[in-house]
Amino acid sequence: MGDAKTDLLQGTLDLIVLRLLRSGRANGWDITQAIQVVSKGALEINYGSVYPALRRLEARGFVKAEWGTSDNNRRARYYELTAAGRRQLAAERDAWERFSTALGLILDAG
Amino acid sequence: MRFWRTLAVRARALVRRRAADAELDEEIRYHLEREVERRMARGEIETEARLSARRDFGNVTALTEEARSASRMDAIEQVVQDTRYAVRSFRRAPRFALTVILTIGLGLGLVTSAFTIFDAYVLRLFDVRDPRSLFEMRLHDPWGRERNASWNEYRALARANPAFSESFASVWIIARRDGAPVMLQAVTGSFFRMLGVGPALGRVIQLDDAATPGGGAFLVLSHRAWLAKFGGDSSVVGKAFRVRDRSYEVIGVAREGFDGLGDTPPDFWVPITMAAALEDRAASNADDPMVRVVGRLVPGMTPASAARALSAWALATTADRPERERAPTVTLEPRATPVYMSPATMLEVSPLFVAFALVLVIACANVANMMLARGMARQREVGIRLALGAARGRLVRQLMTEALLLAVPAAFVGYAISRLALDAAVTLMFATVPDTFSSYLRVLPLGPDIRLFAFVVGCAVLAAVGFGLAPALQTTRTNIVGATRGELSAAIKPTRLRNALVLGQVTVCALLLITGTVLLRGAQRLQSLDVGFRTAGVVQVYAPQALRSQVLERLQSDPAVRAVAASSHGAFDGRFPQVVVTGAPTVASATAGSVRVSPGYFSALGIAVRRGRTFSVEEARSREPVSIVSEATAERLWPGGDAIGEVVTLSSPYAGQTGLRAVRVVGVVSDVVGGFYGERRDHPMVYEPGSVESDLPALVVATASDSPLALASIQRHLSPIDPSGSVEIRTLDESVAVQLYPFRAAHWVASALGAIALLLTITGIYGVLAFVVALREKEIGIRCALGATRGAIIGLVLRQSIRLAAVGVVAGAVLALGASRFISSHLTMIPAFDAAAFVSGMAIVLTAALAAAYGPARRAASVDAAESLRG
Repeated sequence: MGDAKTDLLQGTLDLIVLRLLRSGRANGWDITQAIQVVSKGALEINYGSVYPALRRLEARGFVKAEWGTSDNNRRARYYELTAAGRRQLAAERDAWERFSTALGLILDAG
Repeated sequence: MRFWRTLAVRARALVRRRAADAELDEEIRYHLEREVERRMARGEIETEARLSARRDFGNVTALTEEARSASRMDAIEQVVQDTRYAVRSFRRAPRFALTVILTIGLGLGLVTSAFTIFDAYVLRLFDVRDPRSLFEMRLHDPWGRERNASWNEYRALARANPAFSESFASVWIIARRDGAPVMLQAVTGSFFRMLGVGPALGRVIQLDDAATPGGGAFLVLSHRAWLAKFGGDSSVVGKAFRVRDRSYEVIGVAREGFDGLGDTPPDFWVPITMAAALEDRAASNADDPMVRVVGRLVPGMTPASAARALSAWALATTADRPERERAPTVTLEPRATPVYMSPATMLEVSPLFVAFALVLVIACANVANMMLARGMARQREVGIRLALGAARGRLVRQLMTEALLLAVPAAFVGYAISRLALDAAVTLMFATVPDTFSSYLRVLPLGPDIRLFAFVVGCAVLAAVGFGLAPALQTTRTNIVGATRGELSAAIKPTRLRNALVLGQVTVCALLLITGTVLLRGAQRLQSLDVGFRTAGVVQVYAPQALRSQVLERLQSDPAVRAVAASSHGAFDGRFPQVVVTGAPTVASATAGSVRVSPGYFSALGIAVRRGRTFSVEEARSREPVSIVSEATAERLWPGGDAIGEVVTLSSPYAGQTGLRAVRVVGVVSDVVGGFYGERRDHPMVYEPGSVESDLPALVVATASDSPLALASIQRHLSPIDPSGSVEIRTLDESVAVQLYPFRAAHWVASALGAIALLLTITGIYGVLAFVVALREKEIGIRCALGATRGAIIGLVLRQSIRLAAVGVVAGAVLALGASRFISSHLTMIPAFDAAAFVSGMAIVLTAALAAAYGPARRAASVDAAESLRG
């Protein structure tokens, strides 16, 4: 299973991508811009790692992709949440919230 | 739905890998260009913008590769990952893994053993040319009674050829050689050619060999007999071999793997023209013997249309004969496998397989419970993985991978167990079957084949689903917060599932044990059955007519022999021929067993004469129209009256047949079992006189000593006049033992199944309770602190076990009621409801449940209140 740290990072990025796709279809570049805007630049990530994340989500059936035309009239690959992706997002959000609450409790208790 | 989409994406990734790679490259190119545009729009110069766009992107090559492998993360990769994970978790808990493998292996071993036998006898096609087109022909007389074709009928059939493209006739003969019986099949010359069986050595029987009656003293060895009796000696071809006082030339050995077309592999084949020389008993139809006919259907003909064509032919051929010899109907039975089972018959034997399968079910329930317990212990791990974003489906799949991984070695263990069990069973059977019978016993090879392999693997997979799926679903239904915090027990409550599993186990166990006890008591009842005559020290001798007077003389002069009598039908030799007895003054009639006996028969067998007298020697010699009836007959015809002096009419139970005769009753004797051992004793009997010197085939010899000694003495006395051993000598005790054997075997199997089921159930209950006690330690501690006594705590746990067991036992008893009703409809000796068997079977299971609960209960009672509450 690799080590837990990369797992956590991977999982987190996947979750972020799913969340951003909830507001509608987008291409890879759009997503990187959105991450930048939404997190107010707080997240240090390589933009490129969005692409493995998108492929992972696609392979697991959470997003589907098709070629479309971008706003500057160029061919770009657009991603969209599937029903399964929507469910997964809800589940992961729940899970994450509980986990962080729990973690917070534990850390505070110390 | 999602599965299909995922599959489609993966399939595309595999098939159109290059195209997908190009897409990825294009996507990344788009990203970089867009980024450069953005930066240039902000005023950066182009070279700088390009550089920073790449820097922000990260390592393009590495990320491209990662994205590629992410979309290629296919099923195989996941399986490998899951497998590695599972193996690691087994290494951490080897005892758990071993217990699961052995438990499931045991269950699999039992069903595999049963299937191996079923496969060898019912499913495996004969290794001959086109076995599916082979059918055996049976004729039926106007009353529906089945018979084989006669030799002349076969020859007429071969000429007329209404449905068979080719056919052969055969006769089975048992001869003795060096004291051991040999099985011979006398076949027509077409046998080997039609089946496409060639020689391993020398040659096989050909058309010319079986052309002239009495000619063709040739013999073909089966490959098995060649190895077993001649040690595979290739110089055997051309040697002479004596059977029944005639010399046969060994012309060859049939090829390996050919064991004839029956459930008993023959040792030799001889041309059918030798059958008359080999058959020893004086058959009444010696000039037109009965043969078994197997034919190959004409291509394009269905069995039904062939049967119609053959029926028409048989009706026409037998039209000018007496009614009893006519055959208006012909039926065909497939001869593709050793035992033909119609779907209806398969349904009949299916309860037997259910019994074996139920043990596997119990084993699965046991393991499912262990998995559940383990799942509880792994909740923290599962919870963390869920929190880290693992999909539940993925976790379930992983737990199922674990189950499957355990099932694979279990399949091997099961296969090994089935091999050992079958070897042991065959050895045991040969060791326990009565001596005289064991040399007749032939077992088909029980080797494994692809069907068996598929069966084992299929069962293992089913078992894995059976014991893995419910726990996997249950375990992953975890409350993540609780689990990560370390609250393990509150989050999931698989109590209901656990209880259901134990309940099912107890039910099945009770069903098997009660049924086993019913069979056991049936076998015991049979063992002590009073057949109405003496069996100890009584020997039945069947001599060929040519030797009969010599044999009789020798027997009568043997000092060990007390008396010699004769009868037309030996005791325990199957059901006596039936006649309808009609009383003269009344119209009452009864169907009775009919037998002709010599005057000394009754005293030789110790059958008491209740009224009147036995036959006189004079009556016997001239076969006077007198008779002796059994008490049951007298009771039916003259209830409360006197039978002596009455005249009865004896007629065939089949309408239209001759054989009407009037006889005067001169005596009444006590009731006997007239047929196989275990049949009813109160079935009416009618005896008619015949002299011991006449041709009555069965000689009944009463000896002064017990059976084995008497047998040895008679054999010694007869061997000088019968060097080839054509005289059959059997003690009645042996006949009883042989006929009892199936019942004994059935109860052994049932008992073994019941014992294994009980063992599994006890361990199952123990495991669950031990686990529950561990979970409830805190609660028990509180109870202790509030003043609960040791006894109260023990009672608490025992009550839980008993409650489950009681429900299960009652459910099992209800099922057993159905089972024993089914058995009793097939075996008359088994009552539909045997209260004692039910009570004892239920008591055993309940006691076992209590015993299994006792350990955990004691542990619960020794919980230290202070200790458990502090933790």
